[in-house]
Amino acid sequence: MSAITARKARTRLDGSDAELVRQTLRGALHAFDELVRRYQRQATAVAYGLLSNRDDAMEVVQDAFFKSYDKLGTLSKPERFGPWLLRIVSNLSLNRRRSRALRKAESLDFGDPADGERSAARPDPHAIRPEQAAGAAELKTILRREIDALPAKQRQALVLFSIEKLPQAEVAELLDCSVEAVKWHVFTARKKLKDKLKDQL
Amino acid sequence: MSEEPHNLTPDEKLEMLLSRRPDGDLDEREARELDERLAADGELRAEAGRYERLTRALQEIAAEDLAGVDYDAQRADILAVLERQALMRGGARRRVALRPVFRITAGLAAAAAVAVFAVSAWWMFRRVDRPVEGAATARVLPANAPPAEQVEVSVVARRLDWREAGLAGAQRQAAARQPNRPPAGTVLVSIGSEDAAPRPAAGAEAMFLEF
Repeated sequence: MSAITARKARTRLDGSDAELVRQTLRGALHAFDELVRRYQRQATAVAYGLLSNRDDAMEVVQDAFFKSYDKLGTLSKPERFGPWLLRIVSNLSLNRRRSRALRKAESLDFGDPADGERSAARPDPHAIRPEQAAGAAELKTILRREIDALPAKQRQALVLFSIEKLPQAEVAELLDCSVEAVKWHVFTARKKLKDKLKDQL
Repeated sequence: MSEEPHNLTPDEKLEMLLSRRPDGDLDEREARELDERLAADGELRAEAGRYERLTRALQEIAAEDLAGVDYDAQRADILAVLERQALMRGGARRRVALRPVFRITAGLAAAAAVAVFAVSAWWMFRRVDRPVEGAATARVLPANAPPAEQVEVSVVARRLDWREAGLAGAQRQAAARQPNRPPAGTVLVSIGSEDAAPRPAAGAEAMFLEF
């Protein structure tokens, strides 16, 4: 690539999300690469916040980008690529949680009784280990577990608003509810966490 | 506490203010009123402190847990898969961007191709032997039938061309012998071709269709 072409390409990639979406639809994969670069951290953080598992979060983010690429032509407002992508991430994360819960339930129902003993011997990733049983580490371990135990809407609202700092209106759009409902879900989630962690906070 | 939004009790309103305070989400009046209450209430200050530490911890765990993620590798993986998909689809998403002058040329070429195809198809189609469907019924007249002002005729034949639509040679002669031939200008049509039609036996009355 010549210096001029490279400069032109860079100039185009500085464009808005809408412009990048249009270029992607015209076949410019490098434009989609730029969209991935812009949103992958946020998408990963949202997926992680909802799944509490890094590998699952990474997989969900990949799937979300593939899905968004395939469905890009259906995006009626290209300038809303970011919120649209995060909605896909959020939905895929919830689906992943459901299937994970289902697998867990099935393994509990039909698993080898010996598995129970083996798993009892295996360290629970959420269990508080002795070396963690102090201060901030303990707080964060319990916090992860309690976030994971929140109802879906509260967890989503908390992750998107409190952790990812998305505007409430955007969270409301993602969760398909009112801004007031978002405020309520965030408040309820925080209050539950605060009450659970009263001794550590 | 209810899982769904509802009208807040005064205590819930106060606690919601405490939970929103670390976000800097309070308006001027809310912040001033809360600060006044915090200044006067130690337990409330402790509660506000818990919400602040909770908010900080929420930020920290997300940052810590994702600290080692290799985002460049993640992006490269995503792009590699999409590139493979694009190749497998034969670049279906790729479109050729043509200059306006080429677009016009391409349009004209496409129109010309369609026109050539249409003419060829018409030419081929008209050569295909096909039934001729008439909308009316046929009436077979005996050779000595009185002339009629109008006769509805329908001719359906597998082969119909100028020869077949005219009179066969023997029939033409028989018609010429008819004492009450139809008036001039009447078109007589016999069914059958000149070659294939059985010739009327001598003395037999030819059958004509009269238009």
